[in-house]
Amino acid sequence: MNLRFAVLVIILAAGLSSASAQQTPGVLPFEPAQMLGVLPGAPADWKVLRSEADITLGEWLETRATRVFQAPPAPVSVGPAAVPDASPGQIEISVVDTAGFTPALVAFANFTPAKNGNMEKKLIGTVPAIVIGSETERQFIELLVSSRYLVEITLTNLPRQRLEDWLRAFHFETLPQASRAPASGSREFRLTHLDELQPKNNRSYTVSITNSKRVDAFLKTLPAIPAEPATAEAAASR
Amino acid sequence: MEANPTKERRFSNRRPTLAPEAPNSSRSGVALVMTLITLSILVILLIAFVSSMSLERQAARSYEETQRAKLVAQGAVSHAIDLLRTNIPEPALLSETTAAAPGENWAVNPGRLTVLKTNAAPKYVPLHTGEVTAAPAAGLPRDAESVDLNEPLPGETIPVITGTSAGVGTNHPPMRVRWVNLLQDPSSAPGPANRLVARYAFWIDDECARVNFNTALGKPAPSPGTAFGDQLSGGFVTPLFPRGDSNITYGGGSNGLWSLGRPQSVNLDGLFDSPDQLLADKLASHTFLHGFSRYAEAVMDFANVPSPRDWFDQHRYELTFYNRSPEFNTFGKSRYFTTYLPLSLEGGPAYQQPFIYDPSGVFSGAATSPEILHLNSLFGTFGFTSAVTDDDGTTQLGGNSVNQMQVEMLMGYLRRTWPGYGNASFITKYGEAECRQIALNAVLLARMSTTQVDADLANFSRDWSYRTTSVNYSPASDELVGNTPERFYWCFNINGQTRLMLPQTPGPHITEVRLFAKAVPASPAPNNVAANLSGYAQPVYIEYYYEVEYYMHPLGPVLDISEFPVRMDYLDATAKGPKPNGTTLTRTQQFGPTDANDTRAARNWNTATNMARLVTLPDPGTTIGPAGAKYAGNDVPNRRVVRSPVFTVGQRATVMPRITGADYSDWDPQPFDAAKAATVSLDIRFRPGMGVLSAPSRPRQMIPLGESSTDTLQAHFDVSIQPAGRELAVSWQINDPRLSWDVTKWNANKQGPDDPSRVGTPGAPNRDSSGNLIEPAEDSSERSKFRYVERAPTGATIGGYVLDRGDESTPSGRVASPGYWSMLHTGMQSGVSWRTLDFGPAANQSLLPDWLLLDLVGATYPMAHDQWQIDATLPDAFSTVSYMNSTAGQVNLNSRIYPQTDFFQAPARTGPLTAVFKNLRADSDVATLVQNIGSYQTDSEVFEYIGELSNVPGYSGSGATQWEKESLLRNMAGCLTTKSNTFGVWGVAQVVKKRPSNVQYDIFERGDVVRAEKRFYALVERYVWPGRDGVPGNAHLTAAGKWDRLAQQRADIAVSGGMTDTLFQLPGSPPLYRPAGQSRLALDADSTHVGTYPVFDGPERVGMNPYAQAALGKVAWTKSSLEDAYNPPQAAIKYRVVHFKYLDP
Repeated sequence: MNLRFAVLVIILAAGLSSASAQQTPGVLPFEPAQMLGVLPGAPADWKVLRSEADITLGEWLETRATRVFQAPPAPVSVGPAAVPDASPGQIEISVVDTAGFTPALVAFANFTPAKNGNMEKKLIGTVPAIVIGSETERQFIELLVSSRYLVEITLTNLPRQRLEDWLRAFHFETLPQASRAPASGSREFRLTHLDELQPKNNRSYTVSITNSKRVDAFLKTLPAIPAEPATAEAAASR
Repeated sequence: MEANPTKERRFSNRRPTLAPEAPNSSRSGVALVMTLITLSILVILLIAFVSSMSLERQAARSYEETQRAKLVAQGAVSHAIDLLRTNIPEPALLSETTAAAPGENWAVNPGRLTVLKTNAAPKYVPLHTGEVTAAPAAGLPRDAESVDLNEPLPGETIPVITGTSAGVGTNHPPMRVRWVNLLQDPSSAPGPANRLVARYAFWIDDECARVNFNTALGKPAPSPGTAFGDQLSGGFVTPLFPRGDSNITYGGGSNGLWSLGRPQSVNLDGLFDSPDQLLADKLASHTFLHGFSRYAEAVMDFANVPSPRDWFDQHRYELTFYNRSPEFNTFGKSRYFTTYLPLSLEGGPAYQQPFIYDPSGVFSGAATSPEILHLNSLFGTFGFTSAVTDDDGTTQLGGNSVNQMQVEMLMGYLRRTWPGYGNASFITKYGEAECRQIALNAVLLARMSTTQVDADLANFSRDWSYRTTSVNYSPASDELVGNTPERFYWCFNINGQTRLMLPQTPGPHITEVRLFAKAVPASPAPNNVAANLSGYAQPVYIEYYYEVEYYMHPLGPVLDISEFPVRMDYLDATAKGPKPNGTTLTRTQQFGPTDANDTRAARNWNTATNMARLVTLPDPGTTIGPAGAKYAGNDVPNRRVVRSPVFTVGQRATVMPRITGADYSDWDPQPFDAAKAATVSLDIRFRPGMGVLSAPSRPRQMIPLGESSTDTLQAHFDVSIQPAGRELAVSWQINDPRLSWDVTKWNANKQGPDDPSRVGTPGAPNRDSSGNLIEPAEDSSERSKFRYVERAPTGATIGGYVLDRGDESTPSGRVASPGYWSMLHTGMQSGVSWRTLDFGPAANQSLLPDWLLLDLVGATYPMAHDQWQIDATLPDAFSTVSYMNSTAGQVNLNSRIYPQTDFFQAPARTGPLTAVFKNLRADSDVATLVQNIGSYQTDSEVFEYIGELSNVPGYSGSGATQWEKESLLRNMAGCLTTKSNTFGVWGVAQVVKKRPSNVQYDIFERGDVVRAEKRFYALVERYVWPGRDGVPGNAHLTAAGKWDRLAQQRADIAVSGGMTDTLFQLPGSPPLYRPAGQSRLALDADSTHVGTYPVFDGPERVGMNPYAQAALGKVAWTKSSLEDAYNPPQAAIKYRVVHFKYLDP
């Protein structure tokens, strides 16, 4: 870990430590455009294949920004024994603002460095990381930043890439200091998709959610299951 | 001289009397003078006496001849009536079903009746005494064989019939018809002792070919920025226009508001140079408060012109004070009226209350029974509210049983061939399945047009959800127990195949479903026991959830969609993923019935707890409305996306993992180990349906309709677990949500699985993966008829105008035109999206034109609510627009006047039809259209059905959408007719004397003398006989002069507290009761209280079967002859002269 990365980790730990994980987040995730601003830009000669961000809604809202870069072609092999080049290397980088929603962070709960088969839990600096896969083909690395942000990096055919180099390029400092709180009692959310490369694909819509308390109440209203017909003849009788 | 001295002396004696000096002689002269004077006086007196006697005799003879002429005139009217009665087909008999009643259509032109029977050539009946085709033969007097009925009266110049509209004096248009010669003894051959003694001639006009000034208040010009203009261009159902103030209309607010489509939409002002010359508000006040004027000249009171008389003379040819047209269909059965309940006969449209004919007298209600339901209305009161106990002790829901009977009634018509249209039926056009679907759609549309719905948003939404599912199949209580929602599908066996159906439901609709899947870190552990995840390096769960897009069609209501939850009727999920040891685990869960014979309790979407966990419950207050709508001033979207709860693939086959509070006993999701593989495969089959929150069993929309695991939406996902959290989605979108039952329509627009941002169009019009619209644009022609009867809660507006419309007893009501039935979908079973009843030209339609079905639906304009506030006195039936199966104010499309000869040149009558269409198009376009309507008619071509208007060039106008192209029929169908019940008989009667020397005893010859003449006008009405008492219902009086034998109510009805319906006290009212707190009465029919209609009588037995009785009330019957009946169920047609006058003083 070089110095620049260490500084980044310290800044994140200090500046964003207030965003603690909790079961029911008191804040909303940042907007897609804001999270796109966190992601690294494309290195020179690399091609940007995708640059998108969404707010999605599962158990809770989260904002995911993703960029996919394609590595420049490898130097051409020379000599009579030259073999065809492998597929171009590709890296997918995502940052997820979970707004501290605890279930989304459960993979890092009670984090202890360990190795289990092709999965390794380790600290990169002070940042917990889970690494799955092999350096030679596909490697997936997930990091938890400031108990709120998940950084996901998938490397494909990039055996010589250094993870730390990519982590240094994140710009968490661009995020506002404070997050917005959800409107009181709101059951309606605006889900947005941004596509930097194809802005015509941008879209957003409002979705209402089913209140689990209403479902609980509804389930309590269900009448008793009626008696079953003795045979299937009743079904055929109409 | 000497030889006769006596004589001389006498002579001599006489002479001196002449001398003054001879006094004696003088006296003798006086006597002579006196004698002469006396004689002279006597002669004079005698002459005077003789002269006087001669005059007296002539006067007496003249009087006698005049009286004879009057009798002849009355005979002429009788002849005219007989001509009508013997040629116009009678209504069907009670014993004739919709499938069996003879197809006998007829149409009326002024001067001609056309009768059209199935598979027979048209029969043309001249409505006059004979046409004149040649000038009189040389030597014959001009009027020997014919007479000009339009000739001005002696001493006048104004033509009798046409007024001054087309020439006066000798320039008047001739209307010459032949005489009918009468012998002294018509039963014997002519001869010297049996000579011509009288003759008459008449021509029968159609009063429906004139403007009824009592109803024709007129619609204003639809200028942009005015309510009428904006609503008309906005496609409101229906646009409203102001006439009068709130004192003369019910529920019209500060202004009197009238729905476009009522006869008040016909523009009398078109007969004036300027619209403001008609005192329309004064006319509205008069007719509403005092009833219709009863003579033609009364219209002058409402003409603000320098000389009302001159104006009247100029336009009287196009005016009438009374017209009515019949409301029986081409099969002689009563048309269906659109009413909330069987209205009082005195103030309602139907001639009789509902009943069932059954010659056996055993009202079983069985499908094989010969019973015939006679239902004049597609009423709005049928629901699931009336239950009866079946023979085997189970419960049968009466209202829905009547729905079934309604469907069968309609199917009877749909199987018929139509007079004038060959051997095709709607079954051959659309097929059995589609026809059943159309019938179902019609029954629900009728219900939604009339049923009572609360006003505030929450209650309106609740009621809307109930009502819109009340024409679902209603099974017996023991039928398909536990099988919901399947037990509420209509299940028809068609050509050996089972077809499931739900009626065409008004909004909200679901137009898109998206199913999501993703992996999430496993938390909390199954049963909240951490050990249950031991061994998993990276445990994840597989979650899935779905999203539905609610949509409201144009001009639909504003609703709170919390009343319309999405329930799951079937779902199975199979997940395959890595276990900690790296092998693959397969986990399958299944909820709901696997097929129609699956009788497990788990199939019941109402009671099966685990299936119920799959529900989507929009929050209360989540509104949806048509595009552009506002509620309480706030914008309301026309699309809403609602997300289900998140579900997790579980370990047990029939348990949906769920944490309830602190209870984790059902929380047993299946973990997979993300450290061992990158994906988990997930296959899901599911069938959601939009239901009703307060009536859990009833489905409104199924996606798709089906009973097995294969009738489902199906998706396969390869869910990323490495990393987790990556959503995938599959989207199903539909082009026309009314075809939601058909899974192929959903699959045709399936997208994904893919990133959710790349599949589907939540909250927006549906598009394919290339971005092309897969549903018509909101303002497209296809979607233009995606409408329904316009209703909304209080506070809902669109374009600043109130969205809701009143009931049929309100002048601004929603039941303004039968043309609104064009909104019925006709492609639901055929898989044809966006196809509705086509009210366009027949040439564009295969086989039968759809607009024939308009013939089955009657105009419904009963008395307004506050006109019903009559204290035990019969209302003014004369002034009720809809009364006893007739409608006042309609205008006949058959405007061509017969006979068409050189000697009968009645001017074309364009004013009435111009009045119908005025202000719906530019004046020049209306003029062209009316001209084309005239040209459409030939000697062999009449308008047999009002829908034929669509065949006329110019009908569609410049409208861009089908909605606009059909606007004339849709809006004005209730103002048009092809028949008539009112006939103006214009005639002349003469008493003649044959010259003794003339020997052609049976004809008028030169030298024959006209001894008397009377010209007359009689307005003859063809009407449904209400019984020997002359009053609709059973009008029997007690010794104290009070009505008795009325409908039997369950209890006395208090008339205080703002109650509006008071006709229940009168003979023609149905059994009613007053629901608590209501101002309107309701039909007294439910499981515990069943009122009884006034007793029917007549020769044929009628009653009710227990199911119809539970929905409609009891019927009692006593046997009598038809002529002795007080309240006959058979529609017996009679004729009466409602107005008669001699034109010559």
